[in-house]
Amino acid sequence: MISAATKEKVEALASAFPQRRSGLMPALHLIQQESGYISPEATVFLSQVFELSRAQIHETITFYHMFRTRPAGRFIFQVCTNVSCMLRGSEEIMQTLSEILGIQPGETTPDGQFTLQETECLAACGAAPVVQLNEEYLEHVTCRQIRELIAELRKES
Amino acid sequence: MSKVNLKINGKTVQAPAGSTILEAARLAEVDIPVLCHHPKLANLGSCRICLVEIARQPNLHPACTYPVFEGMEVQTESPRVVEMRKFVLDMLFSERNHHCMYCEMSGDCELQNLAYRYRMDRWSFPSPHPHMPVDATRKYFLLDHSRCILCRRCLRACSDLAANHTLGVKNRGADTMICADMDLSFGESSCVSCGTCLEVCPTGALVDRRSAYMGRTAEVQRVRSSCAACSLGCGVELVVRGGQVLRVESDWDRHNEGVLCVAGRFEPLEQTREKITRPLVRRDGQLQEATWVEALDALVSGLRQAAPGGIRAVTSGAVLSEGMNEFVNFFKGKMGVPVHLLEPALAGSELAADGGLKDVDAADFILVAGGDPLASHRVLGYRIKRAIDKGAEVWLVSGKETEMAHFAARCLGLAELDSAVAHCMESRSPVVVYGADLTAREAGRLARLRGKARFIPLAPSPNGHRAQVLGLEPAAGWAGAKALFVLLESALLQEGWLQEFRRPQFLAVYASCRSPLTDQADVVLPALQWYERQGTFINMEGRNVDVHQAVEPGGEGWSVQKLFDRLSGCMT
Ligand code: SF4
Ligand code: SF4
Ligand code: SF4
Ligand code: FES
Ligand code: FES
Repeated sequence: MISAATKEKVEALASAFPQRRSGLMPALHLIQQESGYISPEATVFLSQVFELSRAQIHETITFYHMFRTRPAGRFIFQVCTNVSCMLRGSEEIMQTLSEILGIQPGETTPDGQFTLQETECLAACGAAPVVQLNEEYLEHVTCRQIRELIAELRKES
Repeated sequence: MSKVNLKINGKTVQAPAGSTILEAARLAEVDIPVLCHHPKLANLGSCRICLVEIARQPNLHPACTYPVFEGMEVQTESPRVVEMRKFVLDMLFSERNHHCMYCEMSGDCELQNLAYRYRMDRWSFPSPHPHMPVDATRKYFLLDHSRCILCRRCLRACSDLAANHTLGVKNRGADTMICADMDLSFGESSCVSCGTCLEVCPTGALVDRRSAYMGRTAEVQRVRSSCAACSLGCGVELVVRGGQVLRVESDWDRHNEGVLCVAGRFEPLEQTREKITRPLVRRDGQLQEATWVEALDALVSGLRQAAPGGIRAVTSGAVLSEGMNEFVNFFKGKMGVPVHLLEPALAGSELAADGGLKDVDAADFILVAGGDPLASHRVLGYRIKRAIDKGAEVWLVSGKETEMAHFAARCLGLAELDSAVAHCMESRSPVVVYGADLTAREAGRLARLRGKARFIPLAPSPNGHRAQVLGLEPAAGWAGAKALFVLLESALLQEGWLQEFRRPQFLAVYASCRSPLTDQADVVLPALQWYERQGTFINMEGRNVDVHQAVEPGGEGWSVQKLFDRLSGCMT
């Protein structure tokens, strides 16, 4: 369900531009922030507001890797697997995460708490290996840190 | 229009200013290969197979999008160009799975043809042959992603020609894929199975299920004809092999401009009705096969017993003009019997039929009253949606739920017809599309727009216009019949026709397929199948369009003309 308040905000974004469709990107950010992902229902709604086809909305969403079309966990781990991080042990980091959480990259734990993803270079190569947890960077990360962090997060949830 | 002089491969060419190199090359009969380009679609310039060399320019440029200029010198097959084309082909073949041997398009594929033309005998990139899904959720055709080269012809056809906007591309880079809506299966998507995408696909990615592996271009004949499933009369090409219609494609040079609908492209071949191939006569309560002589005897004696006051004759408006004429001549002219029409007729015969699809393209306002083109005359509906995309305003006046309502700027009840008429008066180039749900009074209100707007009728039967010209009244006239003759030909029996039908003492039906009506008949006369008949009908634009025989008659069916010719002989 998209709340009435969200609908209003999206409408305001559309009318803020001379071309309504220009408001699509901020609207996608807004919806993902509020519901964690962009549902098919949201796509239909956006296509009506921005006078675009459903396919065009989907094209825009899937062009950007950071927009999600499926719900993700409360904590999203994105492990950089590009060259610098790989040379500094990202594979091991990924393996550790995968073992502790019991899921493969691209999956979410059944309790909906954790999502594990591979990602391209996070532009922080100097601090490799880098893992992004939600909006935050974990730099020079080690397997031990990962274990401790997850134990903590599990307590929290 | 000003002209530009240029040289292509040393040959001097004069082309209109603003043409692309590709258009100029076609004038000079120089063949530049294309893949993403299609003459009826907007240029995209994405596949790079048409790259050419322009003198004094460091880079190669796509011929399909690059405009000509005065003094331009173009090389279309220089060593550099050829090398680049081979590279492009190499990339295209490496990306997905092109094992031509197992592909239905092999022999007719635009990609494969280019591989032969540029002598590809291997691909130099290790091909990962990714496993790509096949979407077979649509009834009539499928999409095999492994043969797709992402030229986006289908996408442009769906959006710009059919105005349906189902298709898009998801993801990016090597993960790019054609998808429907928000990545639904085609079966669940907004696709209306018009098949326009299927027709423009250059490879074996989009495949017609029914005719797959049944014949290549070199092995089939093409017969130009007209679709007679509605009064639009779209131009079609019937693809025929060995006495069988394999597939219906569209005629790009007719008013429908390459677009058909599911009723014209796929449904006619989805024949589930049992064909009638021999005359049948009821004996001892049972319909039994008979000869034409026996059938005509039975018909003549049935009619004589009721003659003349008890005979009624009724035809479907799907019958071609030549047959309808003979029918009226015989029953009305010769026998003095009242003749009727099975389908309802349009009220407002005083309204013109002076508009066409071109007028829809040019309209700034379209009033749709008492009908739903997206249900009954779909290609017109698609054309109206196209006009909406280009900025036309559509108002819908109807007492029913319609498909068109989703796309109209305003939906009004029939009581508000006058405000729509007033709005129409203020428009620059309005078009009125009117259907059978209007009463004579409402049609009269529309008549005020004569001279201002172009009128397009949604005739309830394909040749309804002819029936109107011949003065056939819509049915109900069979009440009180002792003997009834029904001319169905290949018309589908519509629900509701038989509701008030009381079987008369004697019933004769001329039809190509079995139906509840033929089951009740005393005499059944075999008609030609839709692809066996020849003649004309008057289409929605008021023009005579041709229906051509695609296949020699396979059974004992007679044309309507032959039937009445012989029958006249028997009745004298
Ligand atoms: S069949 Fe018609 S509506 Fe469906 S995807 Fe193809 S062009 Fe679009
Ligand atoms: S399905 Fe056919 S027309 Fe569509 S992008 Fe792929 S190859 Fe081109
Ligand atoms: S719109 Fe009418 S004439 Fe055209 S293809 Fe469909 S049924 Fe046939
Ligand atoms: S390679 Fe990992 S952050 Fe750049
Ligand atoms: S045909 Fe010119 S770029 Fe594809």
